[in-house]
Amino acid sequence: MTTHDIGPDRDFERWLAQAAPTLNEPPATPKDDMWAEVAARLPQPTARGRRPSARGRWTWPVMVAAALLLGAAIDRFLLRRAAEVAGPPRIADGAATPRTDAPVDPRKPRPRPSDPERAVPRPDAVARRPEASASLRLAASQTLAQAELLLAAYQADDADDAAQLARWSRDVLSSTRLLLDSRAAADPTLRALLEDLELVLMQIAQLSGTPSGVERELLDRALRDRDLLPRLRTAAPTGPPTTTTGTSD
Amino acid sequence: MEMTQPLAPTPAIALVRDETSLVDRARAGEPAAQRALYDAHVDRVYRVAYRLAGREELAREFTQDAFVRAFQRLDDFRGDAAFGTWMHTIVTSVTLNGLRRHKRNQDREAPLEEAVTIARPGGDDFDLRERLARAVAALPEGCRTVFLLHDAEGYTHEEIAATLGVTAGTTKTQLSRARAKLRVALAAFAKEWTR
Repeated sequence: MTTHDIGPDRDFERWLAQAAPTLNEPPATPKDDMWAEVAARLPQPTARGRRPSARGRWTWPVMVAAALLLGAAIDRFLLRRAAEVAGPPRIADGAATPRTDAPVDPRKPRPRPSDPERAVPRPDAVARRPEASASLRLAASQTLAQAELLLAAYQADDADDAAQLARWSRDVLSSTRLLLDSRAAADPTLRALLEDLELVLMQIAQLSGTPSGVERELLDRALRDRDLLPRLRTAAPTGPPTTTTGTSD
Repeated sequence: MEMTQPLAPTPAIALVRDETSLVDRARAGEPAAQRALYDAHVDRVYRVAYRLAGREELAREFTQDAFVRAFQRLDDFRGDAAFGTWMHTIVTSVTLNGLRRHKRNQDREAPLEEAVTIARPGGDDFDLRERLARAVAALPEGCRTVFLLHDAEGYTHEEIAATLGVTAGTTKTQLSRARAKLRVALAAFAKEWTR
């Protein structure tokens, strides 16, 4: 007999109506035990009594982008000023390529401190300007902190919200790409971290529906092999460096 | 100037207002409001989780996960539906996803043990109910969910449809399929329900 060749059977349905409520019949609710667990997992109220809004999570990419734009604007302003002081040819090159990941040539003469007005700032010297680097440092640390949160959420098995994770991942991805195109990426350690992060974020950004076992396996392996979360945890709290190789703020 | 006393709200409106206020306070992180919302809905949430999971430890886990998730995402609750309906959607989703994950792990870990347990023979009424439970567990996920929520837990098709994000017509079809499959699976026991 198949499900297609039988019609409704009133006796069966009557019997089923009596038997069904006994299936998996719930016992008394262990209310207090469960609440203890729920309360322990909820974020503690802040001093003002309000926990951080989940919606706030979506405003940070705007802040990161703004910080990066500010950093870029300051760069341009400083480079233009330097160009006005030192003459067009060399500075024009520098302005056209604000990325300063080229190795520093130690043989090049540095400007004399006694003659600051005549100094021609190399691009890495511009990076040392606190007003330029602060915004990049802020953007980088925010991006890394968000990436850490995202990966933690993924690992916490929130994968049934794959679409939301994917959207979140795309936001982080846009910031990591901006950072990779900024002077922040001149630091080789940060650059390597951002590049590894980008690969994993791209995988998460492509998730839709419930991830398959293979998708999860690939992602888990990428996270494990690249040691991403520990690296992010190390990098995020202190704020990544925004200087070129061998320099620091 | 004398102020006129506003009309007292009906009990239903007052209840909705109370719940809206509770949700607002819980959203602001007020533990007492979170606890009040939990107390108001936990029984129903736990029942759904238990019906679908069939095991106490899983039902507890899914209920807890559902509340944690709900409180973390209260900003997403816009009040278009009742909080209970929203909560019901969350616990169903958490439970179904949890069961899938659990099944994946079980398939990896103990396929043989499972097969032996299912093959256990039996003949009396206890065994018939046991067989019904196993037949329900073997139903496709959609049919099983609708069957348990409708026939075991007493939800209407409209409520189930809203929870699962499908139409009431779909849930009716799934329920008919579920019953037909169960009847086939238990055909050997037909004398039990005809007497």
